[in-house]
Amino acid sequence: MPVIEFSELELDALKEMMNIGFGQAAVALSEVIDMHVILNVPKIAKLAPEEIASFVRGEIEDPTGFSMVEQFFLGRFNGTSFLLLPESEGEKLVQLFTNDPTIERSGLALDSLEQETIVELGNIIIGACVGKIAELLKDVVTYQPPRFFLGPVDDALISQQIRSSGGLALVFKTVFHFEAEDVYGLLFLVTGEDSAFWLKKAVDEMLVGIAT
Amino acid sequence: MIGNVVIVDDSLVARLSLKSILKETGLSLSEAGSGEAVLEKLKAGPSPDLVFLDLTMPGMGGIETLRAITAGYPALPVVVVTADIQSRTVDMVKELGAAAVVRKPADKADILSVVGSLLEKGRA
Repeated sequence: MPVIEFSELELDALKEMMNIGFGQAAVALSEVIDMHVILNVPKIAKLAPEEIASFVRGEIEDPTGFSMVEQFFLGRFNGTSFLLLPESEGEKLVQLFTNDPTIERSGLALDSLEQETIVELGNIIIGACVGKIAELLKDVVTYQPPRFFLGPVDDALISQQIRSSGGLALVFKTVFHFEAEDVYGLLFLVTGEDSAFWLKKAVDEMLVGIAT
Repeated sequence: MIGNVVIVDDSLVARLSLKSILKETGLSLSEAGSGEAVLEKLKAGPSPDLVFLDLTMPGMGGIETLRAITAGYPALPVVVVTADIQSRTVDMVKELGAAAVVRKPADKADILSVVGSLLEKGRA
């Protein structure tokens, strides 16, 4: 397979689509938890597969204190998505989701509730974001069930979850904050080489549409 | 239509997309790639008739830019174009003085409708 290169304009188009996808995720989330979600400017990186884990790990402050939701998405646009949340934020997230600020971490039941809350959060964010990007590119994706992992989010854990696909990966990242609660999380989308080739073609078609 | 419109977005593709929608209007179109750049442009003059503003930009973000434009040029209508259409975001930018909020990706009918009504209002 030939080496794939992206022009500045193609990368800009991908980043803009991620921006729209992440925006859609923020809207979906704010509707569930009735709280304003603030998004940062997305980041995009073209990496060799062996660089992905260190890139993801390099974006988080303390890999030992994170929980992770991972979900595969399948279509012509396909890959792995990771939602990373500081482990200490689980209790706040449960309070936000249940709209019950009195819930406190007190044992196994809440731990289970925390886990389910984080998985649901991941499902909503990933589904809205990936689904919107696929829609913009006239693709349809399906999802495998999300999986929960409690830290440490190290290279081994990340590498195990990434489906190997050729010699490069595109990694998209954004940070979102829940206003007023000081809760934040990171969302990564990782696509392999096969999907990157398709993305390039789909983006080029979209750019022709804009130029004409 | 007659008028000068500035499109502010860090994404070249987003700017091109809006330009392709607006080109049939006959409006004079110019661009700025950041909040800082549009403020420089406004300072240098002449003042445009309308500004399209993205919210999620590096450096001086869209909210800060909106605040600066509405404070310095209160008569200049600003249309926020954003993928973030959470109700609180929409309320916030309207409170800050945005004349309208349009969802990304830009829809031709929405954009033309907003431009038509705001430029007409400006001339009334």
